[in-house]
Amino acid sequence: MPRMGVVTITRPNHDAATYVGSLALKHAIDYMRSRGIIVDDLEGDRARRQPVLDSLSRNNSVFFTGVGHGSENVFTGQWQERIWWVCDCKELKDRVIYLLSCLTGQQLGPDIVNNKGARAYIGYKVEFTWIQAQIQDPLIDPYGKAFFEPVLEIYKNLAEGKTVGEAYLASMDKWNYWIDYWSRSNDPAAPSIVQLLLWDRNGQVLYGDENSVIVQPFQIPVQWLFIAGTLSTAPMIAIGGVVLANEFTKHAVPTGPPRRLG
Amino acid sequence: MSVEEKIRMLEQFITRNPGLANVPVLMVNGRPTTLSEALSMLRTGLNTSEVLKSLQSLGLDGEETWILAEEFWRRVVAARPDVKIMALQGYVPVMSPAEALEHIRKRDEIGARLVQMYANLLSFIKERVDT
Repeated sequence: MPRMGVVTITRPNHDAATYVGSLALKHAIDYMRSRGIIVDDLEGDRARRQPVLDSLSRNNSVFFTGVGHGSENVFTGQWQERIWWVCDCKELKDRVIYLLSCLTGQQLGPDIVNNKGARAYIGYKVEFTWIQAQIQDPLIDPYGKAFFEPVLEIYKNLAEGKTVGEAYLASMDKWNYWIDYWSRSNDPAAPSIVQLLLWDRNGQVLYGDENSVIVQPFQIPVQWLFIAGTLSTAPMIAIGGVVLANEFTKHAVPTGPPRRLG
Repeated sequence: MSVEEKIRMLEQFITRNPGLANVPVLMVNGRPTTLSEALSMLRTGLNTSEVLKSLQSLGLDGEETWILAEEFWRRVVAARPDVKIMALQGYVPVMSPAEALEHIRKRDEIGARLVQMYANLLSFIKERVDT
């Protein structure tokens, strides 16, 4: 079985769209690493099929994700080199997949889950489209932020031990927040932003087991191990124990019934 | 539904969604019209029956949708010609509003997709006006 708490991510940056997307996913990487998750970051020319296969084989990552151009049946990396396509993605078996890409939710996503045995897939059955004021990190862009916060919400929730279903719903909440925000705005770009937010939100899909997770329920961030190692007095250990117990609770896998996703 | 009730619904929508008040969403006398304009017409009794009829379908009609989408992007070009429209699909990594407008005018594959996106917005507005 794949190793929990280990991620392989592709971040091509050969054109404006992938460049902006790769800047956005850097925030996801930083957050996941801050939670003690091991991330193999395949950026730029490393975002190609062979390095991906090598990474999955070497790390046995539970979570494969990436940004890249896509079509109904293909997900690509740097210079649009094909990484996964329908009928050739068996390496994704038992893993959780999130593809920030156009259209793969139509054929590739279902193939990954139904035929190749991936645990779960999140992606888009439409062209993932957004607006930026400038070609820059979308989180500092007045328009781009609305499109990438819902994306990053998925990584944040998964890194915190939430299920794929919970991460998906948290992302949908973010889409709805920004749709309302821009519907109320008098910015001249607002209507075009709302239009594309609706497009992306309505096209976001989840297939597979909603209860899948990418970290062990009680996986402890590495920083906490360091802190624990430096504690020597009994009161400090007691305090540390309480904190770790809280962390355990935070990471516990919810046991409620699966929810229907819109 | 009475005219007064329709006026009340439009007022409510515009108050809650000012960002969408000036989107061309219906055709009145063959001319793209926004909800703000439709509200003014209903208040003054101008083109009342045509406005009410158009509000029922809200531009969700094949040919009208193309015309309205073209007007939508024409306004974006006028207001924010500098924004970048980006997509994670090979053939359009980035385009300007002027290029988007050109695709709609040419009625090519990208233009058709932009019209589909605009139709999504119309459905959303219709839902919000009606509730």
